[in-house]
Amino acid sequence: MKKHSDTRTDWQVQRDRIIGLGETSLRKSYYPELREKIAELEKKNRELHEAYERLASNEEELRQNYDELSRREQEIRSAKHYLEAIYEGSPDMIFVHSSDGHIIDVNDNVLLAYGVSREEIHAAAPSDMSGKGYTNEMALGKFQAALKTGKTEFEWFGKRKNGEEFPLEIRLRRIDHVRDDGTIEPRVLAIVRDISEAKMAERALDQARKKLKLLNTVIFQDIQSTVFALSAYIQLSGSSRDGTKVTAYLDKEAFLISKIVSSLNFTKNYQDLGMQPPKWQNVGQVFLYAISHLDSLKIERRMEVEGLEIYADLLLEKVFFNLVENSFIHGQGVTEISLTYRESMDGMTIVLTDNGVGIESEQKSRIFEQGGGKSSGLGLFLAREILSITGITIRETGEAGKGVRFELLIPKGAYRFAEPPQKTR
Amino acid sequence: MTKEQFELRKFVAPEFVIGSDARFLTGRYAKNFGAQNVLVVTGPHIIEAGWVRDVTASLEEDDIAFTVFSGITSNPRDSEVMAGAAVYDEAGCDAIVAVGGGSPIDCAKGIGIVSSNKKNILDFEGVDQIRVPPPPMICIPTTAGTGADVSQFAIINDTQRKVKIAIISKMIVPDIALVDPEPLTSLSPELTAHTGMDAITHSVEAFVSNASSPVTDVHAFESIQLMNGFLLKAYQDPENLEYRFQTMLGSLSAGLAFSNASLGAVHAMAHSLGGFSDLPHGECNSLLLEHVMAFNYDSCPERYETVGKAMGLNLASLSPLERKERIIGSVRNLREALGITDTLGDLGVTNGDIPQLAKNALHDPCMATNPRQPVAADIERIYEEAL
Repeated sequence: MKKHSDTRTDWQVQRDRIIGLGETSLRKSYYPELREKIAELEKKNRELHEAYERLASNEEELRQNYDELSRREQEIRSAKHYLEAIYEGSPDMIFVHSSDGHIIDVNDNVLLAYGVSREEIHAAAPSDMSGKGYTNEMALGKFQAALKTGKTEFEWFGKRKNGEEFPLEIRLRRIDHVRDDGTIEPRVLAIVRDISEAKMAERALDQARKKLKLLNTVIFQDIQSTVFALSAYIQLSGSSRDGTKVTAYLDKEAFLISKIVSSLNFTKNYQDLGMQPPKWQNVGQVFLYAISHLDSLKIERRMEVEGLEIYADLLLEKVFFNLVENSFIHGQGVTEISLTYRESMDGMTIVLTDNGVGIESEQKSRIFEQGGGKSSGLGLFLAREILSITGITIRETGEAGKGVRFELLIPKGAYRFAEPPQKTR
Repeated sequence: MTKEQFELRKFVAPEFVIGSDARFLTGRYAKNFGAQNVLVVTGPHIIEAGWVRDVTASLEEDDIAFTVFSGITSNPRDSEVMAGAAVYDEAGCDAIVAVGGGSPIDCAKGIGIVSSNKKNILDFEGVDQIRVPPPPMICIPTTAGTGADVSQFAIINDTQRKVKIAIISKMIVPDIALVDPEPLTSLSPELTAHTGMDAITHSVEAFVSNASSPVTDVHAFESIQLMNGFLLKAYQDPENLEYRFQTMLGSLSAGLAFSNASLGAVHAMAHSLGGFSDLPHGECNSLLLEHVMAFNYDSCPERYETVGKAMGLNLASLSPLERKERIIGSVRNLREALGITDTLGDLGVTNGDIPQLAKNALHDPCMATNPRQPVAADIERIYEEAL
């Protein structure tokens, strides 16, 4: 409630105000408010413009991020395809294990090599797939070593579903699997290589070296003995006045020289022994190459070894050549040869027969010995040695008068059948 | 020219359009102010007369929404102002159109003040108490006398104190007045007389005000001439639009004059009467004018003689006293010719009321510009003379 004053001063003040020249005596004006509104709108416009620029910038950033993500996704997809190609195209077996050794995934090579289904492999423990003496604890130890150090490599023995064991070279690598929630789960990648052939080649080369050393010793002693005899006959020839004796000595000397030459020729044959590692060879093809050096047009041959491959030294062709040449030379009218096989518990037996005179019983035990044959005696000896490099044994089981029967016994793991070639239109 | 006439003076007037059918420009100006939802402040009788319909039709033509507030009585009350401000806020209005006489226009000004300043209307009593400008305001006066459509005054009835308070501020000068004579044709003879005498009182008081200026003198003098020449004619021939236009022009000039020169004791005492007993403002002015003139006369006889000249009196051969009596008598004659013959006593005012009436009148801002500063006894004596 306003209070009033009766003083004339108040009236003077009132009068002055009514006249309206005081600082506060203003007509209302919309301009300041308008200017304020304009300033506010300009500020909002600036803010909107800035917001738009931020949005545009964010959009550009998002677009760049999207492009980057898209590029990375493409790279990941490409890498995934690349890895899938390696995973499935690798000649090696590949396992993915959890840290406790459980099998999470394998490539198809594993299923083929072990002869099991994918369900069976997932249910298998390491020991189920390992050779005798290889336990789960040993396998877990290897996994832990890989998880700890990042990698480890070792040899192992695997066991197929049929019980057959085979040597393996295993490389373990730790890999970090990223789960969907972004956490890391350590896993073990196992790259497993079947080294059966490598092992066989290693053994064969070792055998070849031994054989070569033995043959060198034999030939050296043989030549040394022959040279000793030759020198004796030469001395006798020189000291003897008897022409008949001298002639006889000269015949002896000529024989001894031919023996030395024969020994030297033999060394030519075996000098290539073990020069190259053994290989899987198609029996039929090698046999045909071997007899192509002989006049076999008049000979009827029967071959039932289609698709059969054996692991043997590259001189296998010479083995077949020697065996068939023996039939031609000593078989006395051989007109028919056959090459067949039969499989048994012990392995594969390749049987080579002819319809010649065969080999007498008393000779059978000596034909594979040095000098045991009817000529130089080195052919079958050499054949036996060549075959033995890869564990193949040879024996003669024919009946005298009915032709020879050579049986080549190939151990398990050293023979196989090649898949028949695909027919093309 | 006197020395006072060289003093600095300001003259504030709104933009106004005067002429027949000016009311139909309401929509155009509201649109010009950017208004979208207008509060139309008016009175029931003006609605009945059809003038509000013309105004709202104009708003509709310009696609401007409106809300009508007509809860107003004569001598607008503070409560009515606050109610109107509540309606303004609730309806989400952004401009005000006042259609009516002094009461609706003053109430509309009050609503504008409250809506912008969010205080009770009584807090703005006095001069230059308004801080935040009111919303855009368009006035269409329907009486020839109020002057509120161009003035910086708003008179509101303080119902608790039973006094009329004066709110004076340049901020409540309306933004535009559409001064249309046609609504005057529906005025009753009594209201024509009361409002017309109100306009004459505005002119006389502005002319003799101690805040008058050469510019206000021009308007006051012209107004006295126009009202003296056409008020009685309009009273006698209410349908005559020419007479109505002249009185409207006289009222407009009076408004411009008193808005800038202010008023005097007549209005201070009339405000006191209006607040005390709710008497018609124009009638109170009519009954008090001649008595206040008699009290003031000797402080500025030359100004009153100019008033007499404006009323067409020939004073040349008269003595100063005769001139005074002639001038005051002329005003009395006009009043009586307009049928205003009651006294304050006839209107219910008693001797016992006079001290309080005088006390309140002395505190009215209009008293500040009265040419003679009265004391309470002076005011009481004037009331007694008019009783």
